[in-house]
Amino acid sequence: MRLLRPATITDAVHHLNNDRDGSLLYAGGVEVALGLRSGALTCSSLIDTKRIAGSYGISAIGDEVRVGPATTHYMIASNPLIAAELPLLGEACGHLGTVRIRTQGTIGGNFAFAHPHTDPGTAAQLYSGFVDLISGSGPRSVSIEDFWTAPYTSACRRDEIIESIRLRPLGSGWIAVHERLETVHRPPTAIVCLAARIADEQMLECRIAVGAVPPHPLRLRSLEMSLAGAPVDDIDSVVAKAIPDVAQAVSAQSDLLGSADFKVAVLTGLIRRAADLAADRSRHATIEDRA
Amino acid sequence: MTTNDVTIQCTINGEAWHGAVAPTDLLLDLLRDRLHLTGTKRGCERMACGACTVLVDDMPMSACGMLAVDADCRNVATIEGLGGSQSLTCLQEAFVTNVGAQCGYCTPGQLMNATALLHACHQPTRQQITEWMRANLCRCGSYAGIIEAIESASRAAGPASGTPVSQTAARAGVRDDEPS
Repeated sequence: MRLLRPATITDAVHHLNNDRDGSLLYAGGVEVALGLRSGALTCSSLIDTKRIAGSYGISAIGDEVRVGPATTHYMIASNPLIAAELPLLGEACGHLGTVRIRTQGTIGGNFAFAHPHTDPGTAAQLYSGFVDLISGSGPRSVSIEDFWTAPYTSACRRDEIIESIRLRPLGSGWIAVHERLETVHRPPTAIVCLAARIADEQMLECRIAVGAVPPHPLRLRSLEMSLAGAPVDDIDSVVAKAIPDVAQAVSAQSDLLGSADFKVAVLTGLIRRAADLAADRSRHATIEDRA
Repeated sequence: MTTNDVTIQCTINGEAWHGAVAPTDLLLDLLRDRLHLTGTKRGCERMACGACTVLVDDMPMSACGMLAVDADCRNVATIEGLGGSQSLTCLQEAFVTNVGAQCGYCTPGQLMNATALLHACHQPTRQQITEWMRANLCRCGSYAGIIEAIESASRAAGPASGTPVSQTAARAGVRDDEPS
């Protein structure tokens, strides 16, 4: 096996095209090192993407925040621009796994691996934006909502490399909450990212992204519409009424983390809790504004 | 050395090292089998238990899940580089005093991860310690002693002069809202 360390995205694409079936991209190596070690993964060449120019770092570009795919979860969680513009992404990266995973794992690797239990992927759904991909046939951008298609499957083809991840901040007036249920050293059972604009005890607008329970992170558009305009006192009843729709949208599967019914119950419970927390924070913000 | 081996150079416990490694060699294999730094323990070998924790550029990493080639141009610290043969660090002393170990197998990893925590956050709260240290398992169940040892070492060291508690590090690794 050869190790290749391209310095440019063009070189990386060239290497990938020259050995399309036998090469493997890696950055942090969290999944790749273990896969190679166990024999679950094999390749004839290993392409290290960390040295590609622009693969690392966080910057504001226009009304978006660009995150280089080789940026570690730890760096995202501790970055001031992320804290200001994409706080939920920072929180999600700060909650992921353990500190050792966060210092080594990268957001590009997390996205490409397409684990259904992804915290950063769920947070990214909430913000919307694009994943920029590049191959020998040129660049293309895939919206975050279309990026994951099934467990461990993304829109990124074998001949493509993630060049950047661009996310759109929510702007002012939004309150964002990240909720999850996790048993130590197991993937999270359910992840909820919720953002809301609340005024005068009324939810004006709402975004809800869920992960871990569905086959891949997704937005609950129907529930978002039901909650928009609802008085905050009615949140519990609106969510309770939506449970059958949520269950259908997430297609929960029974596994070692729990039965499908249990997961839907946890997920909707977390949605209620996140919405209540957003309402509480809105009240505190109002009091602080008056003070 | 085979034709596919890669020559890397790095610093290991303060000393420069260079040599050839295969692309699939793990840092754990390099440290234990070639450099005989056996203080770094082989545990679960899937980045879950923390027994193999080392510091790479002061950050905790799983040597069992890191390719040796990725140590190129970086500073690696193992338990052998902590303190010295005749002296212990304040944290090591605190582990002894607070009985932060029973069988001791996980202790090198616990110490390395705790060292990284105290680098990032000089006076962590108990919740911050619990969150950070959940990366390391102790099958003997010495968690209370380990947490007390870290608190004790933190108190003994006091706040670093001119270096406030790192809010960014706290955001990155610590949850204040989670019960311990």
